Amino acid sequence: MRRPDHAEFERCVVRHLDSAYNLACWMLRNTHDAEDVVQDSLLKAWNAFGGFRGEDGKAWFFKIVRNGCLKHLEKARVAPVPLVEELVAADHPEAEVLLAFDAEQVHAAIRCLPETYREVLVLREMEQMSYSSISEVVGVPIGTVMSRLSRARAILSKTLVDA
Amino acid sequence: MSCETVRPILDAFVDNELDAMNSASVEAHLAVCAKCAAQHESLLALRSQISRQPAFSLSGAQRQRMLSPLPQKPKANRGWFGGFGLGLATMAAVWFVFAISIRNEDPRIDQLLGSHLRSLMPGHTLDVVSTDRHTVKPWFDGKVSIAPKVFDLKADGFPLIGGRLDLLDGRPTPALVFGHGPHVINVFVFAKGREVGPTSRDGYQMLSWATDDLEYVAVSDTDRAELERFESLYRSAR
Repeated sequence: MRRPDHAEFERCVVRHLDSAYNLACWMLRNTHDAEDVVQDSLLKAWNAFGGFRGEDGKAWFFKIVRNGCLKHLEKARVAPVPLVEELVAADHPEAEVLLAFDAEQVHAAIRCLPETYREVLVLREMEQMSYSSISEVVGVPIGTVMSRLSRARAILSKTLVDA
Repeated sequence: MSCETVRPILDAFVDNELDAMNSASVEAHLAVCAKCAAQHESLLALRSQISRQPAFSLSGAQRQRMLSPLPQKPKANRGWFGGFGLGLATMAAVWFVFAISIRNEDPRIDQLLGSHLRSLMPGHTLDVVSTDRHTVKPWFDGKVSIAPKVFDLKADGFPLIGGRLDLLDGRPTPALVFGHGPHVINVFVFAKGREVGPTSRDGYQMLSWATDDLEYVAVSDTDRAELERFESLYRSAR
């Protein structure tokens, strides 16, 4: 295994540190734990960097961060949420209704999303990742990314309106 | 396409993940089906709501704490000149902070940001569409009195998309447009002596650099580190 190169590590991993922290904050819903997990993931990434061959450093690093978050959640014994994976035609309320909510209400509604949906939503909407990159991070087929995102948005709409 | 076909792939359509054919079919359906069009609008509304969420980001101290356990870069032997350089760098940093604080109120920052935002609206980005710098550069000739240097930094992830003329401060101002992933970078070019301090506002980053006779101001929603990388690539491009 080659020695990790600082400049290369900076270019592929360190520049995504803020994004990784954002992902961890949303996944763990706790900034303190997020900092610990990202810190730990950064060291893991450094040690594993010799094996990094891919093009997409962000997806590669996010995978490590996500695993760290899942481990952390497991420790805290968060019960997994049963999932519906097939594509459904989601029903959204009218655009004007959705636009009337303020940022805090939206924040709270995203926080309430089951973790499986929250992570794909954050990766897509906040980190602007493609379905294929998300599929790499989460380790599910692209079709599943698509159905989860669709459901995530449907649940989010519903949560907002029902709140 | 029918509603039953369109609805399950509407999210993928909004995410720009459909191939051209399916995308065109969905578009055609949305043009004639008010119900699906309303759902499409709703999805866009939801997206814009989510995009307004501020991202969590690390403070300088947090970042430093995170990076400090990593093995340090091998240190180069720093001689007298190295120490001198470090001194200069410190002075530059102090000047830089000072420059930010005194230039913060420059009214042109609003104009530049406004111009950048307008350029993001459909159809407003470009007057001349070309990825060839030898097409973009001559396009400005005769339209403005200055001749900006135009480079394509595609190999480094900043492809040239084209150019545009904007009216800033009542003068036609060349704007060069670059892409970077999903982001757009506008580079406004002024005659020298009109520089803008490095600024970030509402998630937009702005920084400027000077050549012999011109001042370049880059505005983008990409992160600061990337914009700085762009600047240094642009400065060193030949």
